[in-house]
Amino acid sequence: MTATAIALTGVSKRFGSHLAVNDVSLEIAEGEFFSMLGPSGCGKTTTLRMIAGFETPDAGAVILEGADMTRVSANKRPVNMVFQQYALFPHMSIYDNVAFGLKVKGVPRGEHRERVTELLRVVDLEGYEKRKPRQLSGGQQQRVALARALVNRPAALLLDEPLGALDVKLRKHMQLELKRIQHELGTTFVYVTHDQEEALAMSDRIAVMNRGEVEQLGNPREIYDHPTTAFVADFIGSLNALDLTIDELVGGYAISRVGEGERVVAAVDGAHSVGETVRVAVRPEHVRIGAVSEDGSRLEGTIAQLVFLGMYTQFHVDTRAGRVVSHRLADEQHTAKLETGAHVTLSWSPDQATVLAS
Amino acid sequence: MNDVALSKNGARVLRGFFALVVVFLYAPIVILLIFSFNNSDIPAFPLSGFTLHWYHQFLVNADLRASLETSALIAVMTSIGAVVLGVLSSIALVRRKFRGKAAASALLLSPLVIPYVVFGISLLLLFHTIGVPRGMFTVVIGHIVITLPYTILVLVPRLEQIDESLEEAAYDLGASRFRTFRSITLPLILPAVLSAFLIAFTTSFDEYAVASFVVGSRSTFPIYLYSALRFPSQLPQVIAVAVVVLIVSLTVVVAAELGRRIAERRVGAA
Repeated sequence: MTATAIALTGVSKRFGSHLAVNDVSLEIAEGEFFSMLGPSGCGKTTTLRMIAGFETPDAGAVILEGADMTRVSANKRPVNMVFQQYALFPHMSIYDNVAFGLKVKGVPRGEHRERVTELLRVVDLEGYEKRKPRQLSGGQQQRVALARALVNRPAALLLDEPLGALDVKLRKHMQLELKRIQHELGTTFVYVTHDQEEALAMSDRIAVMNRGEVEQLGNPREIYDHPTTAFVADFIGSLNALDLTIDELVGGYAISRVGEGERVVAAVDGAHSVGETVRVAVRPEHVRIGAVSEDGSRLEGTIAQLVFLGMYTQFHVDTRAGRVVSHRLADEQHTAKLETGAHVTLSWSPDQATVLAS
Repeated sequence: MNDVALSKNGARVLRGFFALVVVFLYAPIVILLIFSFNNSDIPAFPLSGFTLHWYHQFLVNADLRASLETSALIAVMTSIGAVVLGVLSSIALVRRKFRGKAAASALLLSPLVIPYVVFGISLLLLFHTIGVPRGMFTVVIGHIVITLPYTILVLVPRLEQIDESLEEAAYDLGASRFRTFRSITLPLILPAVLSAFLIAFTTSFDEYAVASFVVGSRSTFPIYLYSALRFPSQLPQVIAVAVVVLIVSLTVVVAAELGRRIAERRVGAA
């Protein structure tokens, strides 16, 4: 286990009567790419700003590299931030923007050029030193903001929806770039976003936040495949939610019998009992058509609707357990013959469905 | 902008109105210029001949020059004081959250609606009560109070345009609050600072009402002019001074505007 770069213990922040962050505890390891994901107003930006030192928590502690920094002002913390709108200094050249942190920290002048040049190389902006921010494109400005925030070699880089202002294509490219830069420098990244794809694509771990609290913490696979709450399941990716009664509990799985030879099997943790009505989540891409799963779920149904989406096709199937959506890739052989009104068998393996905490 | 359809008569009225504005704004200045070179004690047509006598007389008039110097000095001190206080209060009004902000804002801007004569009398009473002797210093205090609202009205919109995250970014990179102000905020509001300085300077330079109450033994320029008008023989000389002051202030305004544009270009469209 590597050292802890950032630890939050029981951090809360209230704005007037609004509880923005409620008792959040996190540990972010050195060199980790950590994302805070959630809808607007979920407290992710406030949490980031408390790490940066722009907000002081009402309760709890912010610990950076083992030192309690809760009351330390932003300009004395070993972390730096990349702002949503880049916040480049418009009256300074790119060089001066990047060198700003070195100047105010009193780094010897002789070192400036070397370090600025090194970072401009990392972000692939050599030769732009003399330009002004407004002469650069959005993506380039983004890179300058990264270089500027990294020049002081922070213990962690805090990024507040840094790709929000870019168009889709550039955003995808910058996602890869961010990963590359993080990998090259080994810096801890704390990334705030409302874009689940972005978080899944880049993060080592994700904290999904809602109403000021961490709903689930885990790596992208865990979050995606095994959402523990209805909110996480619904927020990340598309999802089938089936309300079913538990008929049997067998070694970590809940079984619900829907009809003759039809059943739903879902992984379950926590305290659930037979006879309880629960919500079961299963991803559309895990629902297979036609195949059979020995120990998994099996449902009969009729195709009610068919939506062609290019890369894949959506099948909306009415079953005894409710409407179930299945995503099939366009080039899968048997899907070509399926039409609206056709009778089909749906199945998925036990681990692909989860009983959500209520 | 869409063209607003005007009736023929409407267009005529507007043209006439515009002509009147131009005439009343510039005709006096032209007349002033003409009479400053007129070889006669009485400013009336027909002109009696060309002379530079009045300019010469003003150059050798020590009282007059002293009053100009006094006013310039007061205007410099006033504008520095008003701009410094204006920047500080604007930052407080735009960036800080505090109780009674609306009241503070109203209080700072209230000199705009208080008649200068009333303010002059009350200031005189105050200085008298607390035993402050009248002099340049008391005029500067009075002028700072009346020019402060103008500086705030110029600075606040500019500050509001500047994204607060610029200041946060500088602070985050390790700059102190003061360094952030000096390196980021000040350069970005510099065009507005220059405008505020100019407005405060010109307002102070020709302010009569407040100064007349709290001035000491050294007359300011407006006070000297008013008193000189009591002697008809001094009138032509006063006219010549007026022309000089006009040219100097035009030069200052143009220079300041050029400076403001250069500063503006440096900070870009932001």
